[in-house]
Amino acid sequence: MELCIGAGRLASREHLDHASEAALVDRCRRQDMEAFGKLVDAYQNRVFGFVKRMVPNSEEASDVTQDVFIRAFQSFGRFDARSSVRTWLFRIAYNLCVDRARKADRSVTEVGMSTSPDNDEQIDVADNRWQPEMIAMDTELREAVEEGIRTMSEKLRTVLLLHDREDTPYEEIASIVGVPVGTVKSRLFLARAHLQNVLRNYLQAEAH
Amino acid sequence: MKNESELEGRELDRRLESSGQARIREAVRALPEETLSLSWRSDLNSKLRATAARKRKLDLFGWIWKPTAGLALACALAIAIFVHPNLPGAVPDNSIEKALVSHYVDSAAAREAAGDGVTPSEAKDSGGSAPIEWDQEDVGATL
Repeated sequence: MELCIGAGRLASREHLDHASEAALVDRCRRQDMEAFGKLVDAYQNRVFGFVKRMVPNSEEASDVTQDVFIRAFQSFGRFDARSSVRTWLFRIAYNLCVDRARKADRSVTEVGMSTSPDNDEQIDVADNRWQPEMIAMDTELREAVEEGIRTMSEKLRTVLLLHDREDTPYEEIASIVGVPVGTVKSRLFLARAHLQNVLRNYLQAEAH
Repeated sequence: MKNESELEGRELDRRLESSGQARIREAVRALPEETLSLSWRSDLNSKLRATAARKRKLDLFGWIWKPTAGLALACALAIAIFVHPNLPGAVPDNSIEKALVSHYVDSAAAREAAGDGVTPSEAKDSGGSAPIEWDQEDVGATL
């Protein structure tokens, strides 16, 4: 039985429809390597994107992403399909990242939230780089966003990435992280507020 | 209390939908996608193959080991039951069980020979040598 070497198809944003995912899951439960290869093709970049922002460096992120898929392959027999494969993979990824952080004894730095809920409209949005349709983001601005994500606590970062980057519904995030939906929403709000502060400082510095 | 938390929830939803928050969402979404190299994928494939091979070995071991263990257990039980001298089926000569069985056999023989109420020793002692002297009371009781 040979693996499907499908790295040439790195269209990770492709979504598997429910029926084809169910068929793949069925085959993966029977240890079908080709079917598992297709799941890897579909999700490897998304999982890597999440993990890369959760661990300190790219090399570690690559290793953790491999671990995610190896764990998934080993325990596919126990996957009960109550959640989607994507949610399941992100749960494995989240747990591995948290485990790594604990083992490395990294202290999670909580960001001080000076932002009050009322001033979240204060960002100067006249800057045309803020247009939602802007795909090719300015490199410096992108770096500022990445820096903002890096400097927030693991808890806020997880929720921000899963919701705003991966479009994961609140309920699924709650199940991945193991907190109530209300807490997920609060963390999302705080994470965005932190990022607003970082970007406000960046834009102000740019203006001068 | 519930109304308060519902209100807070609704207020939080409203704030999450605000334009400032929506712009941050767009900024996060617009970050470029991370891609992995072919060598990463190739490395993963090798690791998956090794994992699959290990899993197959474990499964095979399970298929062989489980029936073998069951058979061995059955053999051990059979040996213990049929060969071991101290188990039921082989009672030693001087055991209390042997004495009880012997006593029962004697009692049954005595009862057959002399009727109920006579113990084996009485049956042996009477031997039939001395004539029985019946008194009037005994004779009356039988009539």
